[in-house]
Amino acid sequence: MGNATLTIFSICIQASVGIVLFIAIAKLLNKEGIFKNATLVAAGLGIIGMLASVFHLGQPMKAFFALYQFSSSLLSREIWFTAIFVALVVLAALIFMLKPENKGIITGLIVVAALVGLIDIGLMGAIYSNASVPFWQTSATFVEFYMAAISMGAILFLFLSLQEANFMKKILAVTIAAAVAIQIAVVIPNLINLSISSSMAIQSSLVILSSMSLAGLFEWLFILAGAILAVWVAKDELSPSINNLVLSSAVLLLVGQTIGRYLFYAAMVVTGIGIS
Amino acid sequence: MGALGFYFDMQACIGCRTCQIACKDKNNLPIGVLFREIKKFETGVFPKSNSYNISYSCNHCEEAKCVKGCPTGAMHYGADGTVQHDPDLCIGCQYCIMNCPYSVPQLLPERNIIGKCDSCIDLRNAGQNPACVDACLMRCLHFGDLDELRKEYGEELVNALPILPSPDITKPSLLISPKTCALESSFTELEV
Ligand code: SF4
Repeated sequence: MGNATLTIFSICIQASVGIVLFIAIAKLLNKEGIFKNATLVAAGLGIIGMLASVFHLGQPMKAFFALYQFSSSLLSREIWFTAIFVALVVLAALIFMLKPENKGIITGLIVVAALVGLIDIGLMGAIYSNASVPFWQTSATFVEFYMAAISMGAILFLFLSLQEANFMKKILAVTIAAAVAIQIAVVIPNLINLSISSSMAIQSSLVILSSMSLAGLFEWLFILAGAILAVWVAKDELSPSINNLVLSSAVLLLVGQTIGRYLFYAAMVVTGIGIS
Repeated sequence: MGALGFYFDMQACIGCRTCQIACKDKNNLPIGVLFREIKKFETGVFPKSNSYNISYSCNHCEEAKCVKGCPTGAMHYGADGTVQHDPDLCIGCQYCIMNCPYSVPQLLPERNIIGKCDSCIDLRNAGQNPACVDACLMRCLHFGDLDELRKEYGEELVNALPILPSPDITKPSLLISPKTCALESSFTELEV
């Protein structure tokens, strides 16, 4: 349950941040763009992510206590930023449904939410890379989080705004390919690097990962296939079959990143007496 | 006055686990949860092998990562500088479990919050010793001002050993009188 709720939390929030980031960019490039579906889905993912983080707690009813230590605790800061991000996106979605003519306010909320969300992902990375889990204490943690947000956000944004985002299709495809390439270029060499580490905690993490190597294989197969499909569809004009391919690419990227995130949490080995 | 912490005489410890049981009894801990634990390590190769025990619990670190990371303030410094935990503020996020390099905080499954050694602050406030200290047959454990303990038990005490995370991470309030074999960098944990 613990790893599953943390996986749902971080994947949903990062996908939501990614979508919001591309809505913000698209709005800056095309002032007439509405991107209603993308905004609503980003708000939904944000809410699911928040709920998952609350139900991960042993005492969900006391969740708001986590806001108390902003000045000292990275986790408290991250919870503040997640809450503000979700609140901004939900507000934008509500205005969309109730007063859609307020385009300026919606754009403002989306742009601020995108900035807050990007800081939030940095804080998520900092939470884990500062923990006493040597496997997480590398820059790969940050790269994995940001690249997951970008690749999932770009493909979901494209799928949810096919007509409106058509003008960005090629940019989005190149962005997804670049994000996946960076993720692979950093995460795989990092794993190889860790394999020669003398840390017992890291070796224990790698033993856990090797016992789940089939899941690891599917993670990268799905992510790669999703990215290749995204690039493939970008060259053609819109049609129902292309839409299905975009959906397939989104599913592949989402499932691949979700498996990867589950493995990230499953590999947690904290240092201790005799395990450094 | 120095920080308050535990002194452990590894040279005298026979690994009987009386301290572990006394702690478990005092804190009424469920199966699988220990606030003080004994581990046994072996160095060298038979017939030239050696072994040693370590009795450890919360080190009441001066720069405790559990305190810094706790989002609610449940993990905090008490008035005497020891690391204390407020169960009413704890939300069971388990970030302290991920943060402590000594793997000290433990999840209390029935309460869905965490718990750890509070250095028997109730007993100490009543002028007594922590339960583990009084229980030890060999008088290996003491609790008090580390400067005083150092004066009493010698300057050769350490808080760094190959089996321990680096003391630079959290500045643990811990003094150990080590066996020579515990200074060897290669070791194996023995399951007993
Ligand atoms: S589990 Fe409790 S004590 Fe530990 S970090 Fe969370 S709120 Fe603080």
